[in-house]
Amino acid sequence: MKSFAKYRYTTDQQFVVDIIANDSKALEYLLYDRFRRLLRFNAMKAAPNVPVDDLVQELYIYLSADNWTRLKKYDPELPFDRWLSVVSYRFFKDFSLRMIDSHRQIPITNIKDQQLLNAGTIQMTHIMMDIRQGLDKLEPPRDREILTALLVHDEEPQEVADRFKVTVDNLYNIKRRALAKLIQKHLLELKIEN
Amino acid sequence: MREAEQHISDELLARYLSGKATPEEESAVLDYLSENDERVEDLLAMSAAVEQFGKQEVEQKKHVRPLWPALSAAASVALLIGVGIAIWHNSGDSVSIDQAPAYATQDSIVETNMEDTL
Repeated sequence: MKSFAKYRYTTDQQFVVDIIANDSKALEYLLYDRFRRLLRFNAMKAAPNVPVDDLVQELYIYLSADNWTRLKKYDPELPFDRWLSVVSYRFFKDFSLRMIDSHRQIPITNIKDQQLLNAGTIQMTHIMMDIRQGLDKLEPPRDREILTALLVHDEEPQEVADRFKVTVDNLYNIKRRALAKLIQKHLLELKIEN
Repeated sequence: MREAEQHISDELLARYLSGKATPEEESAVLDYLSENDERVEDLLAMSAAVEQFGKQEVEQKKHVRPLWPALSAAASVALLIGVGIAIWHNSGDSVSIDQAPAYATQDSIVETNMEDTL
């Protein structure tokens, strides 16, 4: 059992400084203790075909490579959990795509991991429900209908464009604008409040 | 795949998720998201991970309180008890001197009573 007691009250920003100063145990603490659940959820979501422990180990190597080059890009103005969530999710997904050739399918047998995945998925469902509710109230109605057709009903862009008598390029512009409103209102504003 | 997505760096996406992106950066992220619906789902998953497990981290921190407040409270109580004992001792000495005759009187009363009884 590793003892990480001395790190318990260190700030995330201080961690990055310590790690870059070659305190590799601080990185172990971040990956295997403080953000363990966040990383496990991201691993299971982004790369279900790769064992979670392998992914976290690969992430450790990725962050520590070339004298912490990757970690040095972290901007201390940003919340570390958001930075780590983005970096880990994209890294896991990329790793998973590279592993697909091996056709490995690793079922999740660990009950705690399954519970973690469920908890994260429920949270994701809440966020999606917020967005869906926002979608129902989206104005103007045309934007709402187009976004619903594309995102919810997964209709072909050409069909939707024909129905609304717009070009496909225009349809994408409308989708982009509507998506911006939704994300801004139901993802970013909620986060800022929290 | 990874190379194709590099124009939206992890740092830019993290800034966007933190509400700290500039309007130009927001626009670039939205272009990137609207190109592919799977990216929106990925963004939701990244966000859900932070929302769900970030909160648990805060709650965990609330439950695991640092030791020093408990120690300082214990030290305060110990100090109060110490001061209380010192005051009690001091006040106890002065009372015994002042009340010495009263005890003597009481004893004599008791003795007198006993003699009466006999």
